[in-house]
Amino acid sequence: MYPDDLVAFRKRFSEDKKELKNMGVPITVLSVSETNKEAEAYYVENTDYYLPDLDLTEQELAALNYAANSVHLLDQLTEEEALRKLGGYSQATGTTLSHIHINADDNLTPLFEALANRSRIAFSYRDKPRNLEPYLLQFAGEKWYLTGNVLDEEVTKSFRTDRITNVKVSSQKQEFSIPDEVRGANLLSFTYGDDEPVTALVKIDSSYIPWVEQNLDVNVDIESDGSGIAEFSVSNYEIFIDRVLLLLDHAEILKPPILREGLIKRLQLIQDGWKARS
Amino acid sequence: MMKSSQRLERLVSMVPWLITNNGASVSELASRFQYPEETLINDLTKVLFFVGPHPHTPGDLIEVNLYDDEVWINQAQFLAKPLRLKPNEAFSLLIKGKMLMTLIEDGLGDKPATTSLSTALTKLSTSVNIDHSKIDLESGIRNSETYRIIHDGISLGTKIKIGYYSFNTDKNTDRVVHPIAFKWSDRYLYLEAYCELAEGYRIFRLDRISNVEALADPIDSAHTESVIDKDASIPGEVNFSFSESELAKLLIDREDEWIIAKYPTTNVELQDDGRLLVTLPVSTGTWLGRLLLRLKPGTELVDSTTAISESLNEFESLIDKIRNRYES
Repeated sequence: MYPDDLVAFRKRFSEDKKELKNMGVPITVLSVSETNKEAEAYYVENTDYYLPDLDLTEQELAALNYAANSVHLLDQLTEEEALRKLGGYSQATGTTLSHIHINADDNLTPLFEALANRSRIAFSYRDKPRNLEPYLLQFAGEKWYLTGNVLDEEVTKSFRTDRITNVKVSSQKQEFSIPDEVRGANLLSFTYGDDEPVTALVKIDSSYIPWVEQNLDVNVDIESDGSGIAEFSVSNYEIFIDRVLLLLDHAEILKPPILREGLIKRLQLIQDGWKARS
Repeated sequence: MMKSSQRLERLVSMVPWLITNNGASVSELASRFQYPEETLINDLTKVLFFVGPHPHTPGDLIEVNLYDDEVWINQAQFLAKPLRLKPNEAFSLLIKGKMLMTLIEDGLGDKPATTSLSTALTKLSTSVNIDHSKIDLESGIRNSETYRIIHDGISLGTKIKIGYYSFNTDKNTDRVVHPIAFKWSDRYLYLEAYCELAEGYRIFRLDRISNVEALADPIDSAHTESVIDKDASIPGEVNFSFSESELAKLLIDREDEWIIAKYPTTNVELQDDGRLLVTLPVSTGTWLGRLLLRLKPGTELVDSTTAISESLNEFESLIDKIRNRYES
């Protein structure tokens, strides 16, 4: 029950309102005049409150519970209340999957909201202010990326979400449309650059093939001696040589000559530098 | 004891389900909505019973009927639909569902009603107005045979044999390990395991495991508990600690300042000539040599411990080995 004392009443009312808002109840405030006094009225719009009919079957609800119990987001995000809204949460949906962890960061929820509402966002990226129409949220290479149209430049770019700061989502909805085909972040930095594009063939010793397949996103053809041959499109020679050198003498650029010679030249320069200083 | 806000949230979620199902047992409601039975009966009969729209006459209030263990309610049409999902709730559920879908398609774990999961995700994304193709998840190394065999070893509690490449020593070793858990740090997934070769707990980066074989032997019960990330702020995250007894000071070009973000450094000083003097812990000479290969040729090793300086001799022979491969 609410207390009779007006101050205590208002305090309690304010706390309850806050709790409802935290629950996600869309409370709208209206200013109303009552004689000469200003007053506020509160109401909840049905269309904003009600979850659209999902008509989930028990099997579908069980499948979502199975997902919730198998995959773990490494942040404070939770879906238990969501499952209760959808018809019930259960930890008893036995899973043979050991815990699958997915990295997450604080920016994801507002970015998701902006994507769902097609609202523009403003943020800082490496200290530079950006205005973006978000098109795609992508989890790749264990990191999250946001791809969208940069308004000041009218180009599509990708941004690592854990490097985004000061996100502000526009209160407007449906501000833009999302193209059907959106290319996400390209994590292979040697595939874009100003060098003449070439196709590189690299021979890789057998023990290092898994690393190459996972880190350079390429299918390696296995040779009869167990070694592998991988083909890469290269537009940034320096970065590509850098990647190949990570494999030390366990890999060899077979062609083109420009990359082979570039790698040898780099080694020569390093060697000369160390000799001169020693 | 549940907070009143939690109870309210669960009641508001429970009512639509109760209406749709035309009643349920108290025990089922308690289990499905994680509500202590005694509190539930009290809240249904003494709280929900007094809820209703203006003007709150008895005819407007929710009618709660409790008979034996059965509950059903009337006059609650204004609460017949659940509250919309909050963005974080919808996002979390969609991501988990999509990742599970990907893993099942990749052949990992059970295949419980894949169709149900697929249709559930479609319904869920429609309800929050998002085209779920605009959220793209790559399972990465999770879709590899290596991951599957390790995963099974963890689930079944059986040992595995791995071939592991150490970046620090540039050596391959075969090890029998007792797999405990998958871990994570920065861009990489790791296996935490007890290693019989090292006779201790070790962390193995998954993309450096060159081959893996499932063994039938059960893991030793003394080596089943995770010991690696006890101090981590996020469960599952590995916080690598580095010895500060092996430090190297490098004078690097500004173009190489990426190493400051990638590796832990203890000090960075801007020099008058624009270069950076970076102090960083070094695990082995091979590790440092591999780093020097990626830096500009003018990089200087200003100061380091004797052990590291001596192992840099290996660096020169390492360069020779690479050149031999190209020049032979």
